[in-house]
Amino acid sequence: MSRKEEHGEKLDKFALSEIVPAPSDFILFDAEKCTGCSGCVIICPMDLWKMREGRARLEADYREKCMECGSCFIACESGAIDFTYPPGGSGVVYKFA
Amino acid sequence: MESYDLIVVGAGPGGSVAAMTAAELGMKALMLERANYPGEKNASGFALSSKGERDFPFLKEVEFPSMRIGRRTQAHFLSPPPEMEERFSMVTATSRRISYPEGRDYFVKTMYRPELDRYLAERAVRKGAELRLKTLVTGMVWEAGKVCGVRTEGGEEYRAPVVIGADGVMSMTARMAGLREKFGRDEVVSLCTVDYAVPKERADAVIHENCFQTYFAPGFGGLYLIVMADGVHVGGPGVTNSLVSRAVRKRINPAKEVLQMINCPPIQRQLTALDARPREWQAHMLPWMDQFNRRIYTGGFMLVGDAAGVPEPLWAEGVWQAMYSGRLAAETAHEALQEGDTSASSMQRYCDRLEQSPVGQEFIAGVQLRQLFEMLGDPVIFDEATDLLVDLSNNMLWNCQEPKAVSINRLFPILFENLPLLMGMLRVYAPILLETGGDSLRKRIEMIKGVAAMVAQMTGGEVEA
Repeated sequence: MSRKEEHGEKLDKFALSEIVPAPSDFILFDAEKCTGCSGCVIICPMDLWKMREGRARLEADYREKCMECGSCFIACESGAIDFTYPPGGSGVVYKFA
Repeated sequence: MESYDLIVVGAGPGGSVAAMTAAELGMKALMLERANYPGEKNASGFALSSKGERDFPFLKEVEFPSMRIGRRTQAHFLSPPPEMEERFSMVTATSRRISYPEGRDYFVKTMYRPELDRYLAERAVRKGAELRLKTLVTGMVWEAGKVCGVRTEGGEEYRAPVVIGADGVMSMTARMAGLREKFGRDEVVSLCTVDYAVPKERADAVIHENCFQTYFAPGFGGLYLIVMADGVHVGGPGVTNSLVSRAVRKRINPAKEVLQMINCPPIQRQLTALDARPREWQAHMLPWMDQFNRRIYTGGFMLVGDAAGVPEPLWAEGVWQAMYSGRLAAETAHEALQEGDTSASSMQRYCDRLEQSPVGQEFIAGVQLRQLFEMLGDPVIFDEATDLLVDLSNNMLWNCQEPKAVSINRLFPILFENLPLLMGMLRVYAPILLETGGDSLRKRIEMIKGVAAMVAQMTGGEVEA
């Protein structure tokens, strides 16, 4: 891989993040309330939301990838997404923030 | 069930300063932090401005391994994609007019947040506060319409007549206290950062004290390049593209934009010169509000730091603001306890003091300041503004392409052509000048009128003073 790719667009964000998977769900999604606005799909920095049949869907393995930024919760205006923090001691680990 | 005088939720800079202030005032304070160590969950706030040392003198003695002093700052203006090369750049030192010595000495000290947060939390503990890690607060205890304690996920209950919520932009305590469900789309930005490991001697040689740099390009929100002692942060985008409402409307993914802009040649050259190796990927939100947030208290409860939305409206600086609000909240809690009144009207004093303080003053004309970014967020206006800077410097000073007389004669037309742009800038700054410096501004205008009359007399013309 070229230096440029390593630094920028080809950078593997998943390989560069450390996450202790939460033992329980901390994002709750109510598909009934989803209006399909795709705000969560656009904003998620880890691409954990996908559109399926006009509604958003959260990746099943999100607890291993989510950085707890909460952008999806803010972007959602239909009340379909609820966000709480993962239990104490789990979730994203930043050493160089 | 255990009882305290004050419970602080979150051990970031705001929470730790609140707890240490309370302990210093003789209060029994408890800090609850969900992470394994303070600073583990922070993904922002990598620099502390000189206001930190001015208002918290104990910081003067602190040396963190990652600390680098920023006596210079640099802004880079790039050409549109796909080229994205440097068109104009300026390095600025601190102004000699800044009102306090630390501010004249440096802009910011950069550092990794786990180091700062641990230090502040440990200092709070040394002063007598108690710290519990890996503890997520999941509920509030209420009595007579006032908050009087918290419940944790493990089912423990801690009681205190005052609780301070210092749990960041996604504050759960704000929600539990009924202050807001969440910040609005127009109040929060979604940012990403790549951290790179850098050999310290390279950073010393290439960057030295110029460790706070920003890159702007037409259509992009802009990136910041922050150099610590032995690491680099490249992150963004700026508010024009990262405010959640705008990102969604413009269909901009913050991660994608940051990675795309990192590929521009000037940033690539910097990273190559620094021998930078990708080390950590970070994603986070920040409150970036243009008006002071007053919904930060209720009976027995106050919000501080990002949870209160304190980052200032232009650059979203927030660590000093968090520390300042933390101290004010703890002092208010102390007073309230002495008076035996923790009602909402008692807590309101904190909000009033914060609004009157330098933290609140940053929001004077916040709406207009935000317009600066709105203007520069427009790709055409951004390119025109860069043209103006390039035209002035090339024609005024650095022209080796033509006779100087030719280029110098272009200066007036350049300024005339750019009147709309300059008026636009004036529209941003005039309200701030009028609101904060009205009297001295009027005196100066009178002075100019006087001088104009004198010049008229000397040259035989007539001017009405």
